[in-house]
Amino acid sequence: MSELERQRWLAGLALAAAVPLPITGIATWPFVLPYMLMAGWLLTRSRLVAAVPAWLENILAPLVLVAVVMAGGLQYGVLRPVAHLAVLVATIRLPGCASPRRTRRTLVITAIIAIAGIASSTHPSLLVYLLAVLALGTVAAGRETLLGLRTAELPLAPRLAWPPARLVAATVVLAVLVAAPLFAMLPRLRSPFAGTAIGSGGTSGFRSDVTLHGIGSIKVSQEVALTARFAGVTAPPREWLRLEGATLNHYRAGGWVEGRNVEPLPLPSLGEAVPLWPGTQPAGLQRVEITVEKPGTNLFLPPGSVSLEPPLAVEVSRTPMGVLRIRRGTPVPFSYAVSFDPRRVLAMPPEASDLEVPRRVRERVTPLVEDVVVGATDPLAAARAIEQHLQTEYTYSLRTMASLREDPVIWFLFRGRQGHCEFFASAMAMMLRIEGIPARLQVGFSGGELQGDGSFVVRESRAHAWVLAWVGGQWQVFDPTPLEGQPSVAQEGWRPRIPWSWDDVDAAWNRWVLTFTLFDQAEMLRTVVTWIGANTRPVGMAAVAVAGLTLLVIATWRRRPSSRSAPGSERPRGTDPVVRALEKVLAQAQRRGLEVDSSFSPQAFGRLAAAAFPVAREAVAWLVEAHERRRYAGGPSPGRRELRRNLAVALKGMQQASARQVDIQQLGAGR
Amino acid sequence: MSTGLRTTSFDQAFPGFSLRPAPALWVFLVAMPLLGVAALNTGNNALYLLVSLLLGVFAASGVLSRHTLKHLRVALQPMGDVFAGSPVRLRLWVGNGSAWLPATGVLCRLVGMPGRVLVPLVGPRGECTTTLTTMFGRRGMHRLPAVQVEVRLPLGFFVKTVRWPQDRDVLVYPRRVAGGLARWLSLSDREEYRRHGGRERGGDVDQLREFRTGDDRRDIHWKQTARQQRPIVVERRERRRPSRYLVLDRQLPRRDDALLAERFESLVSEIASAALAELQRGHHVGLVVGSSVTPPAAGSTQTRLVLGQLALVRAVGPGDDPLPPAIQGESVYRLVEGRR
Repeated sequence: MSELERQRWLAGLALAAAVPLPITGIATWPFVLPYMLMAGWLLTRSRLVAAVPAWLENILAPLVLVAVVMAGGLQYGVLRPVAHLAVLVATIRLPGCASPRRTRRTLVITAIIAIAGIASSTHPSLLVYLLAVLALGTVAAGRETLLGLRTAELPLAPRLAWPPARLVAATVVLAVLVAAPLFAMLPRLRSPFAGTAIGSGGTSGFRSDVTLHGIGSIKVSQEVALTARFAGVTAPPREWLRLEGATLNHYRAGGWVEGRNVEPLPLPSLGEAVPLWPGTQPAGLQRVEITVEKPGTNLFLPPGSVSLEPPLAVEVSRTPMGVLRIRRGTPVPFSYAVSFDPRRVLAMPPEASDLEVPRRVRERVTPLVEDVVVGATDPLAAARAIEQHLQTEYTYSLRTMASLREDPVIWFLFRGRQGHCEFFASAMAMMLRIEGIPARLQVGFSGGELQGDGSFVVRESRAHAWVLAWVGGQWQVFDPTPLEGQPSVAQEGWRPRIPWSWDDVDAAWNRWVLTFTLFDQAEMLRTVVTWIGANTRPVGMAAVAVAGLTLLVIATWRRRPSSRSAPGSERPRGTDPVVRALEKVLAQAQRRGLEVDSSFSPQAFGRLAAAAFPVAREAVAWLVEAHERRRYAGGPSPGRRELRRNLAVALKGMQQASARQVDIQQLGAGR
Repeated sequence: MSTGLRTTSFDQAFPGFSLRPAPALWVFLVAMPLLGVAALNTGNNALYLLVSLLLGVFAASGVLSRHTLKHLRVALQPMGDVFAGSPVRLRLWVGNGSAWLPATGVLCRLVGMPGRVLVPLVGPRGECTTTLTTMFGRRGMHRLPAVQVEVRLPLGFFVKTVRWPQDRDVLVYPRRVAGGLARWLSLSDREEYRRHGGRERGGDVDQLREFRTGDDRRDIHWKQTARQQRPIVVERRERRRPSRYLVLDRQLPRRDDALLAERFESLVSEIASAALAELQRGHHVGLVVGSSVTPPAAGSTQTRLVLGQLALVRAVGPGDDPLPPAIQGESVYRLVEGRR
């Protein structure tokens, strides 16, 4: 490959590697733009571009480091500064990349940039991007290989040195077919891509614990989580659709968990409604039927739930916080009904942990709380002031950049000043606790889409977080998220439900790629094993049938006329048992190191084999003689038993010894 | 094997298969574990996706290159006369039996001999004919060398090779040398060689005379014979073609002497070069090798006959194949011992 062409290829690969960077935000535009401009310029140049002089590189090197530090350094994790550094270094090093000395280093830096971009991507188009890069890489590798074969003795016009499109397409298709099961089977030890502390993206949807660290964008999933139908009410108030899934009161290291490891207690199965709270009045209760569509471990309850009609054949247990849980892997859909008092919010009484605030948060946030609640005369007013402050002074955003080195609540309140509902709710909970008001974080779903039959569809995108605060001797709900970030009740749109619409694709991508976990692997394996176990007989019969059919196809395929063969090179196949026996002996001799020329006659081979494997001499001689007698003298086939015995002796004799190197000339073997 | 014996199915599909890693493989083997550890450590499913696709493309490359190699067939054919020590062009036929996948960047080499060629593309179910140049070192009947077929694409991680043995033989004529004066033996006045072309019929009429014993009956002039009532023949001015022979005494003074054998080869080359030069001028050349006599003739057939004999002639020990008695002591090509 000429240096000019190599320069263009490297520039093209550098541009391709840069595509995800501005989209994911892993590298900011001030860093990405010069890199893309440099790569684009090199791509279009018609002559080689010399490398940046070493003295200039020495001047730029510390400036690069300064730029990376000023862009945030390690406070957003490792990925961003690495991406920034790689992009800047690549910008400086791309000129002169075509020289053999610099090509490899340029490829390494480009690969680092590409991996940083890929690792921070959450959009389904990542798959398309990867396939395109795969195809581009295949073309580049093929072209480099073909041009590398050129010599003065082996001329090859550059226009002919392109891998065929069919080969590239076949490579990509086959790679995808192999990659799909590999992706499912590769071992996973950590939480999935979405929601990890070092992860760079998240997926919206209910989760029973909350982690605030992270960088990237939250993806909004349109998957249906559940449906709800209120008995006798077609237009319920919005608050009825605030369905609690989990109540969290322990704030640890930037995240909320429900509590210490306490096993949930199973609810008694009474065959009828189970009371959830003692002493509740039956008057004024409303009833809702909820159908869970998405697998999970939580049941969702409207505020003031007093009794539960459990789902059939589903074991329900209850945590100390009052959260209802079901066994993981419970088949969906299933339905249950809840009676609730919409005038009340029922939860476990406050406890000491409802006032816990990390020391650093308390130190930092207390002055803010004092400023916000100044003038509040009672806890309710203070809570409303905090709620209002957060709703008006902060911006709702799905884009998160919570630092690893800083508490996310502190980051949200004082630096980021933007975030999603979990940030708002967490901040309010901390501020309330600092003010001495017990507070908890609740997560669940809020709002839904009214269907024509009066039911409400609740999608994953309506997952929400709000605050329970103990004010005035009772629990009250506060929602500090700005209105634009609060899920609402919407009328069913006329939008037709198109199968495999983009929402379905996006949801499937989120579910089966981004958030694929070790649990999912175990579930798949369990499902397969269960299915096989339940269908052993038909599966066994099907497996035998498939195996038999496969063998038949293979045997038929092998017996077909050979593919285009050279003129005059057709080889007759041996069908005679003596011939087949000799073929086996020949193969064994070759495996044991005897070099047999294809032009040797059976006699020549026999002499050679006898000399090389003395132990098998007599047996080989017998086989050769039997073959010649049959072929040339028209003699009968030898007895099957005798044939097998000699064959076994010959093979075993060769098996036990390596071939002695025999000079064919000394044997005077004829051809 | 001439009787149709065959090896195992893999050996039959990939005779002499070998696998050699290319530099690109080492880069891949270093990068993949690093990526895998990164994916495992971070739990990043996008990295898992990348790792899966890279492993997939590695597998795909192996499968496709093997498929390409499996369906390639090659055959060699000599083009024209082949002389030892002279570059010779061989025609190489390359066929692709795959129904859908083209074969690209196929490098063909001759095993044990110089000569290789790069075939850029053979389409699905297509074929391609090209030539390559090689050289046979020694005269004689040789089996055409096996062709080593190398495939690298699509990714160039491995160089996969098979060796296709060839079924054809090629007769390699002796080496052409710039020799000195050729030693010709004229045998036109030898009765036993007379009928081997010492005389040639035709030519201008010289005279009519009476028939003598030994005259060719076809020369009888029947009209004059009838008129004169005695056999009359037409005597023509004979176009005597020179009855030139090259004579080779293939008896060596001693058996199993490598130096003498080598000198014998030089002798054969000298004779062959002389014969070829004369035949190319259109002259008649005969050949005597030991007790075997090839009458003089001209033309391409005679050229092939003479060169073929010289290509296959083997030295023998003293007394194993003496020259005809008539040629004893005449000017012949023979090896003698130098005086010490």
